[in-house]
Amino acid sequence: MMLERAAVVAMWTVTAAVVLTLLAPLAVTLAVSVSASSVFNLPPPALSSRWYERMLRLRELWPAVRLSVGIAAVSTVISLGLGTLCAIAVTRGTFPGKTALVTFMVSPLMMPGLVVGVALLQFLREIGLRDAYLSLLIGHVVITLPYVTRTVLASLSLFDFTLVEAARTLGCSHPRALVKVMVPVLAPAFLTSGLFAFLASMDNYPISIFLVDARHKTLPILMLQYLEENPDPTIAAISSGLVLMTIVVLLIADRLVGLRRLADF
Amino acid sequence: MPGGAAYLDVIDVAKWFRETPVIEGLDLQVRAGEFVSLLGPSGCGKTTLLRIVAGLLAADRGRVRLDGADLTRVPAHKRNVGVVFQSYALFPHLTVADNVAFGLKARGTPRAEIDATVARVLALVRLADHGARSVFALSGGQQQRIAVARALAVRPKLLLLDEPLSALDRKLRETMRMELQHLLRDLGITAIFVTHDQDEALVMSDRVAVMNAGRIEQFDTPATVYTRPATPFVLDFVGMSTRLRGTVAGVDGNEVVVDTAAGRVRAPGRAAPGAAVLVAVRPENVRLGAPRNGENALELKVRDLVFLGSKTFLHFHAPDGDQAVAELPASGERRAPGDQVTASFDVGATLVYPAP
Amino acid sequence: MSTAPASLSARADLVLAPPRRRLQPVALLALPGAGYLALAFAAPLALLLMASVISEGRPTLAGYRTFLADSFSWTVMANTIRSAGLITLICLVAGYPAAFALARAAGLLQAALLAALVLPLSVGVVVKAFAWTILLRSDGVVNRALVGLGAVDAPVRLLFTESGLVLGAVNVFLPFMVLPIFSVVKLIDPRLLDAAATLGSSPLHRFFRVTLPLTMPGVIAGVAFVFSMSVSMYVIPTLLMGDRFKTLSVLIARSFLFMRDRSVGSTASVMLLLIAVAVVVASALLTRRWQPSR
Repeated sequence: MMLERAAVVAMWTVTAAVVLTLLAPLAVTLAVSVSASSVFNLPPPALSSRWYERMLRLRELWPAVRLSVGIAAVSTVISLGLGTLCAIAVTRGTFPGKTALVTFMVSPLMMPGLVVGVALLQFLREIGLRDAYLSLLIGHVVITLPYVTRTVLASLSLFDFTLVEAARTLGCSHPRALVKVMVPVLAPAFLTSGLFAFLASMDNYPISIFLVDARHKTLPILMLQYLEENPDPTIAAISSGLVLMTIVVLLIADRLVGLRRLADF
Repeated sequence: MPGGAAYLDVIDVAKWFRETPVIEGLDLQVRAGEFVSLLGPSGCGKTTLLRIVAGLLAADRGRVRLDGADLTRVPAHKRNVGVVFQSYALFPHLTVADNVAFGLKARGTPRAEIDATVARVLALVRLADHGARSVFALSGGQQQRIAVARALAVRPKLLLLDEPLSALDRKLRETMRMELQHLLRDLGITAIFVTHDQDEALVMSDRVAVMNAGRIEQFDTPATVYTRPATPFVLDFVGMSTRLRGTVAGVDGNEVVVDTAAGRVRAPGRAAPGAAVLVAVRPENVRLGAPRNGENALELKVRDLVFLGSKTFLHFHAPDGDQAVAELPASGERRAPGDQVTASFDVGATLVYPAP
Repeated sequence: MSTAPASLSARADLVLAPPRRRLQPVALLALPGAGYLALAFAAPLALLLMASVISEGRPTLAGYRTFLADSFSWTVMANTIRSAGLITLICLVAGYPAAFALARAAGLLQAALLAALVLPLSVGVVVKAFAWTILLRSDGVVNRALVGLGAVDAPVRLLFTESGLVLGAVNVFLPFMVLPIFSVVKLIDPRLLDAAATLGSSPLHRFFRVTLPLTMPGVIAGVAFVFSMSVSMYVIPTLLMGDRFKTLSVLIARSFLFMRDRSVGSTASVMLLLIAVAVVVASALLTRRWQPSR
């Protein structure tokens, strides 16, 4: 009895510590971004919005944002397509080596990004591809595909396919039935995996560093460069902007499918 | 009460879920070695009562005593009350043998004794060589037997079964009913069986408790519950019957005379003249033909025939809310819908209730 | 599962000759995705592996011999695995209870906890690592808390130490431990715990014999994710440790990005790859052992 109570108390204490440590860097970033001082002192001596103003005037920032968002969006969409098809094949088909296939599809998540980046760079050079945008896209689909495959597969394996057959008896062709019945059920999985995939792509450094060139820099690369050259709270302002964007997305996601679904990572 | 003190004594138990009472002031006394059914529709509170007796749920009021000990505040794992769940709840990560051994291991039983008990219990449910299998390799009926074996392995003082046969198909259910009954009788286990299937309750139990909306309406042997239902609800829930509304025309000694839409009938009982009542009789007591001495008669028109192999049920036209049905043996004369008949039945077999 | 014969499930644009028993059209849907990864992911890695054993047109293991003969290499590998192991362990110890708390929480609290887990992922590893450099300073929040709680007498040096690195990395990788465990915890059938209780199992016994085994697939997934991410991390050690702490990733980055000599980088890449593949294979095998087979 006492042991059980102590265990529950310990559980909530640890959880509180976890939440605190997870939110600490967020708080720091936000605090620094509104600090009047260019030295990173906490608590900020005075408040100012100068870093946000600076951020808006930063010349290389917006191309990098556009590039990162663009790559993230396009690669996420491509992965949603490829990953869903694969998930359908695994749930509906019978063929040998399913577990191996799934392990393979999810493995890029667990591979060292630097190594994948180097390998991909050398490979693309070999086949003569030099375009940075295309190279980045190719690499980022590799990053995002595992997230989608894993989440959509988990969702599909709980899906009742007799619903599709019911739709077919009511007059839909097979592909149309799949779309009409499965998509609403898979929407939360799409949203969750799409969000994680998008964030993973936006945040990726190790693969991108090898595939960028002077004219195409993604946001994380730009930020690290900026940090090393002239660190000032402008990057904190940039990050706070990203956090705000994510909060909006999370609110929309909650409205659409409920925040609970995000846990099906 | 014959047979001595109650083995299981449920005293004035009540339970609310958010302002709604699920069980109200319920009393139940079960004797040692008895097989009792809790029979009732979904939502009547029978599973809630089961969970309270098992210790998985705390009652808001009342007490539970088992074999002389007050269990009300005792947690489930110390009660020694076994449960067989509707979904069987077999541990997916353990083999069949480990499932059965689970309770014994939890009690720190020595290894040799565990092995011996597991072997014995598996033999009892005729699954002796399935010990090493995964639970997923078993059929529904086999899973059910393992669930029973697992609960019995620790020699519970009381065994609770929550609709354990509902997931099985009909033939299997009938076989399992008898197996279960014999098994529990041989072991002398006191058991309470929750079901919504009245056939099961009547076939298997020593006594049946018919529950409705959190109360026990009748608690008696199957025969009594069937032939002398205490309330219109029990009448309807257990078996079929003719049920007609009527008004008391008069009282004659120990009998009342009731006017119904289909005729005037007499029934043993007491009621005030002019009172609204329900008159009922079981279908097997109804005969087609002119009434003899001591019989009631009703003029009815046949509506449907239901052929069930060894017997046929005749359903008659009746006013809204009423029903009339007679049971004919297979060898009986043929009838057709639309036929006008006289249905006769013993006055002594006629039941009367105050209209709800 | 499906009662329709294979020919009925053929998509209109995938008309094939009458399917053989084993090959169904629907299985081919996996081809685009798997094929893509085979080309863009597996092939480049295979080439990298091959290139590492070929020098001047002849197969050789010279690169590996040099690498493994150098005690510095062993230090680097030890650093890599040790820090990854520590990070994974702390994430597991902290993340396991948190996953349960998440499952027990209801409504608004659960949503808030989930948001707390997902939101930090949006900050970006660069800025997060940078925020930790601020937090870990001698006059930073962490030190102030430690002194305030009485855990230490004077501010401890955390920046540019392995402890600081572990702390920062744990912070970044925690969600990847909590979420897989949570997704398994919430699937546990509460009736199994009821059944265990009625069989005489105390709460402690129930936890160790029922709950814990059932959460193992999630634990394995979480450990695999966090360990492989920790082994591969680059930005976090770069910002929190600079050049002082050499891990395989740092070595690889320096070799390819800043130095002329690629051979060290290639060899280190293959070593890191081997570690990652070992994690993947081990987790797949362990999951099969712990997953109740259907």
